[in-house]
Amino acid sequence: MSLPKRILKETERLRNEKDTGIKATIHGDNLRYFDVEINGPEGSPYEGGVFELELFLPEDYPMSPPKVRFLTKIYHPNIDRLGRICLDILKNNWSPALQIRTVLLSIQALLGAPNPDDPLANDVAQKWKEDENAAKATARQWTKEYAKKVSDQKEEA
Amino acid sequence: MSSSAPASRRNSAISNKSTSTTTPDKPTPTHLDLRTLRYVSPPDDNLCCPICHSPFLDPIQTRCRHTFCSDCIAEALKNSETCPIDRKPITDEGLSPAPILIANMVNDLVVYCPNAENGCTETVPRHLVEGHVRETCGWVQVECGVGGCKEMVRRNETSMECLHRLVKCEFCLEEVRRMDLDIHYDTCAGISTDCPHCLTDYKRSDWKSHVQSCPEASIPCSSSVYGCPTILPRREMARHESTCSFVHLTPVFRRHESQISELALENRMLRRRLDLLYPRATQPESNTNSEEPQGPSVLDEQTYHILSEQEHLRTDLDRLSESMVALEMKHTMHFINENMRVKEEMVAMRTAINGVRMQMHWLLNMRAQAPFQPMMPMMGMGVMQQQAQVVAQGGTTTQGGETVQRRHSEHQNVKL
Ligand SMILES: [Zn+2]
Ligand SMILES: [Zn+2]
Ligand SMILES: [Zn+2]
Ligand SMILES: [Zn+2]
Ligand SMILES: [Zn+2]
Ligand SMILES: [Zn+2]
Ligand SMILES: [Zn+2]
Repeated sequence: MSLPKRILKETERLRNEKDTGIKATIHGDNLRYFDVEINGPEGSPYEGGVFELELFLPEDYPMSPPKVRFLTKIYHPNIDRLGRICLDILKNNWSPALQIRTVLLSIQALLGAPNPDDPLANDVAQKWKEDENAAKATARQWTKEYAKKVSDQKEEA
Repeated sequence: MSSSAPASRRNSAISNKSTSTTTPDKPTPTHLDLRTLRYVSPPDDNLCCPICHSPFLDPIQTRCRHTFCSDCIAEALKNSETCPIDRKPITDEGLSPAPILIANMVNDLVVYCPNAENGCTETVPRHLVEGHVRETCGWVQVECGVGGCKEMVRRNETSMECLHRLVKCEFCLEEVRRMDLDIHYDTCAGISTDCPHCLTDYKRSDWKSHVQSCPEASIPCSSSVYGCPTILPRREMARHESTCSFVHLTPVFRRHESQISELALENRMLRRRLDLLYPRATQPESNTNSEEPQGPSVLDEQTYHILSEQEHLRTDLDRLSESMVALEMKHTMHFINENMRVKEEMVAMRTAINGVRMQMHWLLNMRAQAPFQPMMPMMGMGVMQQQAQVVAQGGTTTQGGETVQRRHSEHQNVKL
């Protein structure tokens, strides 16, 4: 199967990506499948955690959006128990001018600014609306429990 | 070849707009996918399409003044009739060719010849690359043409002489293709080679036996084991050996050698017997030690008998192990000889395989020119999607509840 030059270029650029708290590496020898790590944004309940995701580029990428899913358990109103993400650019608002990098930065931004009015996880969104502080505390606790530590990641590197 | 199929199909669909002929999936010898070109220097980002990230091909401007490759924007509009950059609504009518300046700039970008990996070192402006491949590139496969020959050869290998006709090897009279003749000469049994020692020609088949007896090959004196340091060409060795004092003394050396080994054996035997008769406390031997406490005076006769018997056995054992060693040596030599023969055969096989590989290569080249089948990439794609579905199914089964399933259908776009 041909791999469009664009994917090669994006992969190359992602390899040199630094200081944004996102990391995408090719999984095995499937050049359309990436292991992703996103650092929880500062000031959010997810700060200090490193979240693992998987990203798959469908055959008609960039005409259709990449498929992304959280692998790390996360407490967030727009991310459900299976790790599926409710984000407009991953669905109707996709544009072929977007890239893997911009998608991951958008997901990181979503962690910093949850949107309980457009929920994917209804129960989480409900909690978020009722008692935001308690919900954030749960999110913080889940981060501590399930997400890798930023410091661990640095040691690995 | 088949790997570039999806891109090339798209390409031909667009270029057919102007010519209005429909011959998709029919690569001509000059067919070229401009998307796969490699640029000599990294192109300016401003000249790259936001969709394919490569320098514009046939650049098109939208009404909102964004530029894309014509293929890329056409493809994007199939999914959503908005500008990929600012999402302003656009339709086919809203598209116009980009300013000629932009088109010229991307057309002038210098690219490597698509045959670079085969050896072509040319770099040309992009708009000339098709002409280069069609007319001048020496690494393009073209018909041989001599005497109506339909075989394919690299353009820079075409000549007045057809390299595909069969010719007879003048040395072994075997029939070989003209182009394979050089390779054949390397292994031809009828051809002669220079002996490295005497520099005379010998047929390859006779060569081996010659080397064993070449008068110019340097060999050591036959008495080198007894200390003669002389190394001379074989033809001079006889003269040397007739005067070599080592050679003259060789029979003496031999006799002495055998005498010494006999004496050594005898000496060893006697020493053992001596040890038995006068056991030394300081140097215990298991047998004598066990006898001692019984009182040698009583059992003297018996012990002596047993011990001498044992001594006989030991001597036999020594003799046996010596012949074992000799046998082993003989076997090792045999193995080494056999091994060398097998190795030589392997070399011959390898050259034969190389010949076959050349022909295979040539056959594949020829097949590459035949119309290609788009089957392979499609199959690969199917597997991908299946994998993705398996992941998704595995995910849903681990989860229960109606609400979740409803959500699942709502958000099918995100599933993996
Ligand atoms: Zn626009
Ligand atoms: Zn493009
Ligand atoms: Zn060339
Ligand atoms: Zn020919
Ligand atoms: Zn021959
Ligand atoms: Zn010779
Ligand atoms: Zn000598």
